[in-house]
Amino acid sequence: VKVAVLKGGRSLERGVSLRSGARVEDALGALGHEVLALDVGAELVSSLRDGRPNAAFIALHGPGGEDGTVQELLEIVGIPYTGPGVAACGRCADKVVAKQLLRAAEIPTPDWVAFNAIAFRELGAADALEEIEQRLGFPLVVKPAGQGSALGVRFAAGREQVPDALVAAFSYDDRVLMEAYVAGRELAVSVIDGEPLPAVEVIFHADDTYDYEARYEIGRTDFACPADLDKGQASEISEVATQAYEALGCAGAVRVDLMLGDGGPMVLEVNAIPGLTDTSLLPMAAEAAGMSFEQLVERSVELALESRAAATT
Amino acid sequence: MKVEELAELLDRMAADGRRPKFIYSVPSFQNPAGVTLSAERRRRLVELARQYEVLVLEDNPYGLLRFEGEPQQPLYALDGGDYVLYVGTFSKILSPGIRIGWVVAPPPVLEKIGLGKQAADLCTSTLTQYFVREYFAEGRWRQYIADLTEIYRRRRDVMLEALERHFPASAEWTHPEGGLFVWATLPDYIDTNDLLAKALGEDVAFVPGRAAYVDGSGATSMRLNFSGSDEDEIREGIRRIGRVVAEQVELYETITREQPIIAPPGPAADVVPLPRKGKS
Repeated sequence: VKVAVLKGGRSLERGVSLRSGARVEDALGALGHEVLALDVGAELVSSLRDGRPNAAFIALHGPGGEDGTVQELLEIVGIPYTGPGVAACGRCADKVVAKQLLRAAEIPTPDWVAFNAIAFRELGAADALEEIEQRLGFPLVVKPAGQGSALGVRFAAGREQVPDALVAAFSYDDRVLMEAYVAGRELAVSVIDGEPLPAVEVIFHADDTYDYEARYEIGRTDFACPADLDKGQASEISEVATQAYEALGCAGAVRVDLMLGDGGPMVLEVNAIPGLTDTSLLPMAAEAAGMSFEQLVERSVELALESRAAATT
Repeated sequence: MKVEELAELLDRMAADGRRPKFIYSVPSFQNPAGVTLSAERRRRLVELARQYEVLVLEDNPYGLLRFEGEPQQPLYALDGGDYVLYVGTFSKILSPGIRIGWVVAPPPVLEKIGLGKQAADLCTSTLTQYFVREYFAEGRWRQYIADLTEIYRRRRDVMLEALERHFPASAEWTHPEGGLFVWATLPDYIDTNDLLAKALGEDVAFVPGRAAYVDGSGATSMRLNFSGSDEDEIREGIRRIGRVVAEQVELYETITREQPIIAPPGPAADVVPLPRKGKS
């Protein structure tokens, strides 16, 4: 099978994407597939037309690659691709839309309020900040609606930190959300074709757990896989993650990020195109389920080809 | 370098029984801030090196690129070569790709450097060394540096002028007398890592200040390089960065209600289209 690996691009997560892509290429090569590596750019559509791959493996992160844009182009060119479809990618990439759908499906997610910059610039949203802060409580989390990884995500421990956090988040998107902070354990459950993999727990050593950037420094984070959970917890978390996968209409392999607090698990977001580097959580979870990286890649490609076959029959 | 603080640090280290291997300094038009160590601080640094018997590595890649003011004496000259090792490079005065520099150091240190370099790169290509020798034997290098310095001086002037025009009144920046860099510092609620995301959307880049610190500070600063882009590009680039900064300032002020809500700015009519550059 000839597989195009889509990676790189102009996103701020280009570096991670290139690492994911390189690993996928190695795996595809080892599996005996023909690989067409594409650092995506203006030539993407013509490269796909010329290369005529049987499937595309999407190893892109951030806007463009993860939000349905590239998926839409692949639909037009008629090449089956890994991961969720156009609409599901759009739903996952917009954290606000995702949370609205989760709430509508009665899947627990932390309370939030979303704004665009116009609300502040033209509509005096600043006058509503006090009520919002009262409703969500401190600390609260401020996030850009449409950016992956931890870019632009800030904790605000008190009122005085809210304006800086908003300015930071608005650097990445015109829309941001302020979200209630859920104290508890941070978990990620990857779901492949509706089946949950073992949960991974992300454990931070840093005292300042409010510093998102510090979390990405080497040596300050540990992973436990499978996470140390009792049977009831583990099945509840898997259940919630699978519901989130269904609610957003996902396909292929995605990663659901959750917090396990006193009130049970809460879904923070769903990553439509999870990282596939050697420190990423999806490969870690697959490994815990007895699935090698090659098998994970092979399964993703199979699912892409199956979905295409299903669509044409 | 705040040499007063260096004295305190050396005292503290001595008290803890710790011995520094060497002190690294770019005394002229330092990367990233473009600032230069004063004559007084230079003298004091050399004194401290003697007093504490610590080597100083003087890295001087930009020293010949002076636009104004009097040249400062190298630390090496002040010290006489006892404690100061001097490192120069042809990267900034001939070509970065040539990858050749020179070291002036006491023979025992030189011997160790030679060993280390052999292990690192199996010695510099003799062919490129011949190129460099011929080039300098020909004698036109002084004129070339004079031409280069003039180009950089004009670019610096354009950048400083553009900063004056497009950056908010609350911003500050250095006025380098030479070299390649300006260091700008913004209001404390702006994080230049986040600002870079916005600036990249406008096809313009800078180095966020945190990259220059080991302790996570520098978040509100940025390094601006005026050597690699022409005058029009610098003008337009600073205008674009200035615009994203202004957006953040305005947003902050509306969030904190420091400023009444104002009508949004109209569409920018005078955008100069520039091709995206491969390097940034």
